[in-house]
Amino acid sequence: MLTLALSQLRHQPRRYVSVLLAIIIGVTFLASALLVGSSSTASLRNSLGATYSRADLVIAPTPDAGFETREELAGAAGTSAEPGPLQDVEGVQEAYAHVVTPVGVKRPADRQGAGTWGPTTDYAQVASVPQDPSLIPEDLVVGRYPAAGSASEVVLDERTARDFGLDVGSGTFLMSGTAADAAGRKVTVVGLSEVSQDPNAIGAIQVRGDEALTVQLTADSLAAALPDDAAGGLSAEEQAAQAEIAEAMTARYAEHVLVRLEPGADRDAVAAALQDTADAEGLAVTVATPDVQAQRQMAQMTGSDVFVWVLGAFAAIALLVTALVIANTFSVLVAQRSRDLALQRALGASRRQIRGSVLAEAGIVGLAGGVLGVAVACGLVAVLVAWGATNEGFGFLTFEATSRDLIVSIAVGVLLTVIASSSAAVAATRVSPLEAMRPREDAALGNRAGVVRLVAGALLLVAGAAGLVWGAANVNLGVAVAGGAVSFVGVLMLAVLFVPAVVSVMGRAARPAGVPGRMARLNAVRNPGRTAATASALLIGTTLVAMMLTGGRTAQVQMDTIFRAEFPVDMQVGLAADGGAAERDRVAALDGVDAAALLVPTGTAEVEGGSTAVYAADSAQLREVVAGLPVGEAERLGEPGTVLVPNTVESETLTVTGPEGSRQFDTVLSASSALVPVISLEDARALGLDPGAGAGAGAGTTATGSGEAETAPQLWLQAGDGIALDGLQELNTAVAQAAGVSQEQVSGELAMRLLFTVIIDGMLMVVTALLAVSVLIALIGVANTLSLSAIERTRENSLMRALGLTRGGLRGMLALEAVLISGVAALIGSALGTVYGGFGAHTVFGEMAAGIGQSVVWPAVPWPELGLIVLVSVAAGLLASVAPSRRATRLSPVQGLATA
Amino acid sequence: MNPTTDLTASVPAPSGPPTTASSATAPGRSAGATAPSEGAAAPAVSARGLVKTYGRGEAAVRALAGVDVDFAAGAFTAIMGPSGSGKSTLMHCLAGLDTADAGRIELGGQQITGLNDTALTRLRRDRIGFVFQAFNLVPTLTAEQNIVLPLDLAGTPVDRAWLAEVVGILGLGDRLGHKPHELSGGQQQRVAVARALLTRPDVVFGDEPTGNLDSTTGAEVLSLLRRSAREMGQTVIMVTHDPVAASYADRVVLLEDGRLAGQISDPTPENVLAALAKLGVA
Repeated sequence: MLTLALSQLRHQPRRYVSVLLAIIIGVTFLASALLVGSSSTASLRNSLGATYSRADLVIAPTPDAGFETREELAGAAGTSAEPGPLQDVEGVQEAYAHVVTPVGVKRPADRQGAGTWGPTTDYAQVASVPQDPSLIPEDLVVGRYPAAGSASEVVLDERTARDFGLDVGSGTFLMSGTAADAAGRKVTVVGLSEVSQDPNAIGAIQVRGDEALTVQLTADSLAAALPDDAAGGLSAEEQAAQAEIAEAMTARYAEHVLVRLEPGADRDAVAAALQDTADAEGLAVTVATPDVQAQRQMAQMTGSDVFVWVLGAFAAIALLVTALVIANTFSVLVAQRSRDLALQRALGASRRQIRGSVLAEAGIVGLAGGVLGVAVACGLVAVLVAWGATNEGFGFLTFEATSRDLIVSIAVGVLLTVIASSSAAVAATRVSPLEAMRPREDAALGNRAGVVRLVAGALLLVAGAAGLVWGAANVNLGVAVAGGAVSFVGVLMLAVLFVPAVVSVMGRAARPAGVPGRMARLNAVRNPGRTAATASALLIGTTLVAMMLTGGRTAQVQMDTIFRAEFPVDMQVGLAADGGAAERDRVAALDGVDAAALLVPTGTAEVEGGSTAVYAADSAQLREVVAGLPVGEAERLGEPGTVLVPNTVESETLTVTGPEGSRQFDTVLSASSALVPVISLEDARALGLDPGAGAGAGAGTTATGSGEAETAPQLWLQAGDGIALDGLQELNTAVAQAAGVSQEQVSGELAMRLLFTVIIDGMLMVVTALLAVSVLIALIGVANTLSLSAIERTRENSLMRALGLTRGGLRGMLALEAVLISGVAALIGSALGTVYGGFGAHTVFGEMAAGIGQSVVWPAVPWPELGLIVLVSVAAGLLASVAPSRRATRLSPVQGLATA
Repeated sequence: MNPTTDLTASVPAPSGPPTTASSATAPGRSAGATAPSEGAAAPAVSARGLVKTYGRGEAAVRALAGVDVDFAAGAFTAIMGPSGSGKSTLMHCLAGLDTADAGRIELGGQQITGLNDTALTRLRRDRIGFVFQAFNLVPTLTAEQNIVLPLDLAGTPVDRAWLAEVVGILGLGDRLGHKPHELSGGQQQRVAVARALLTRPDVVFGDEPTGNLDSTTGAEVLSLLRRSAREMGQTVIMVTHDPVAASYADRVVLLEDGRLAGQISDPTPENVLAALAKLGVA
């Protein structure tokens, strides 16, 4: 049995190359997911380990301890000025509480972008230097630690030093407040340290200073947070509120306490004593050695491996496609071998032995694929990790492959192949011994699908479709997804019905190619089961990709629409009181600005909650600048007699009062809360506004007390289409300059809208790439089926060559067949995927859309990307036919006809 | 193309045992010349010094070791010999299915040795007809589509009258729409013969055309081939090992060990068998 299997493999290894490749890709995917999981675990352990590695003992809160424990722990350890009870334990030389004080470090003047702490400062964590500096995990690279008692010396991490252009001896500022004009504390850099690998410190600038500095910084932040104490002017409530703030800001939280033992102290005894002391103080903490503590924390932190699960889900899809390819391949292999199998049966092999031989063959191929796949995955992930570790601060990244990862991956490879080939193995047992005696039969012509399968498929399709439609209509994601999945299973089961039919219809287009075209079409559908199986694998891949692309594009369009409805105007600029047309023109002339409208205050209106200022603008400008209004309202924008209102106004009319009287206006409703009421300039003149006389005149006389933030003129801007996220800061600056105001006067949600687009694009790319793996495997399946079918038809092809088919004709025939199958599968998949994606988008965004008055979320079909999918599939089909063509044409007609 | 295109008006039914007398005469048809240099018309196919070797080194087999032979136009010739004599190889080379290592072949007055694959393919398509022992038809095409396949490959329109004629002669009128697996062995061979005749080729080559058929059906096919030679002037060259089949031919050419070993001018099953036996002994 095994001998037979091995001999088959050795005799015609080329027939297994494609299926082996498919298995390798699938297993590589799965193994990579598992290895990424293991490696992140190991890396995390390294990183945590690094933090604790220099201490003798670590005291840390228990997993379910809260903020209070951390505060108590900090208190129990105390500071070098005021040691706590933990410090007093015998054998403890130092109990250093790792407490960080957040501050901002002033960025260099030429640095682009916004700061991570304040507008011009970046987030930094300041920790004190323990009395025993050897407890610090990061080595000092150059310089020295701050002198004891100094409140102006710091050690900086070397990456920040390089980025900010600082070195030993440089000065910089630490700001405790976030306001742009907050005062800073001047400090001098006396040393540079390695970048920390503590996961809690990633992204932050690391600063070390003496305790005297941290105390000062706390005082600074307190002063910045609390307003000046007006002499005796605070009520009891205000005082209590201030006291609370003070307490919150001066609280110290310790994530862990690093303990240095006195020389010669017994570690276990001291650990026990520390634990007793902690318990006596009522602290929910544990004392452990650094290794043990790292392990414990690992166990907590790696509870949710969402990333690995997501990767695993995509790997599962890829493996499903691989299974289809395997099943198809082996069924063709068995069909080709029917004479050999018949011979074996005639010679006395039992059914079980035949089945076992095929399964053994599958097992060997699966084992080979599994091992190779794991090897490739190890290589991939190891390279990825090695590259990552070269980045500063990521030295803790390690590659780790647990035996579980390797064994599971290989086992999946073997099991998958064996299970997928089992139907072919069973088919092999059905070969009758008599077939060995009969003259060779023609290549299998057609096999009808079972009625049961068709009925079941139809039922699933109908039920699933119903679920999908209902779920979408009632915005129930769970039902919609389930319905979609069920209907897709139904589609796959019915594939044997409609795929050959569609191929046959599309094949008519090949008529002009003469006999090769006609034969290609006939050959593509002569075995409907096989065609359907081949196409199914590709169908899964293309449907999923098309679904993701449609869903993603629709999501983008939909979110854009919703954003627009919420924020019809890209940017708003508050001008100075005398600002007017000159500023507007300058701003409108800027490169990144498409349109600008000048709004001048002209009156007031009564809305819920009091009076609000009403503005006037030129109708044409207004129409250029406001987007996203509901259909029906947008057309009326700027017409005389109308007023544009925010969503707080729902009535059909609004009375506006100007310097010379009131008038009722018809409202143009919007869904936005960010607008102010605006009427046209002509109407404003009727109410007494003199546009030529500068806005200040109009505003001053009509301003009415409370509830109004500003009555200065504004600019509303529409940004150009080419604006991207990284150019936004420049645009802001340019606009502010042109308008003659400070940058704080420029506001708008354009950044959010752009950011969202970037995020969706990024996610889509990743998802598509992951799914593309499945498509690749399916295309390998097409190549495989085609080449095996061509081998099956060797005699027939040779007959045609004898009768006058040229080599080129034969190549064309095979190429057309491949193109037909892969092209049709891609077309059907794209269509299906678009439908699913459309339903999905409606389900997800339906409620949000209804909120802005949109009843149906129509799918935004990504035509170029869909076209690309079909094109790639067709091209791959062509490529797939190259090898079989070469083999077929190299054969002389005589050799081919003599094939047994 | 065949030099004579006259057709007989009557369509006699297939006859039983072979007769040595020829049937109705038609102008321009020769009754099988004997020696290569004799014969009024030019030979349909002729070969000079054909050599073909298979394999390399120790496993090398000389299938053809210098064959000189002519085949008369309009005659039904059989090539016979013991297995391994090279008869199939000779036919393959003459038909442009395989290339000889050395020697010259002329078919229909054209030198075909040295032609490239495309030219050979076109030659086969336009000027040669084939009937193989088995697997003659494309399984996905109907009988009629199989019959016109070479014309379809060439893109030549079908002469409907001629097609009807051929179909009539072969008695396939009610089978045209059937696929090969719906036809009996004999019917499949008749479809193959129809296909071979339809293009009015210079030569029809048969490779053991009756090998898979029972004696009655085989006799049918053989007499059809003979009729096509006698009534339509079609040159037919058939490879066979069966003396009874060979007796339908006008002449038998004998091969042994890759060389011409004799010929029989008026073959009967008895004298063919005797000749073969002599070969085997020597």
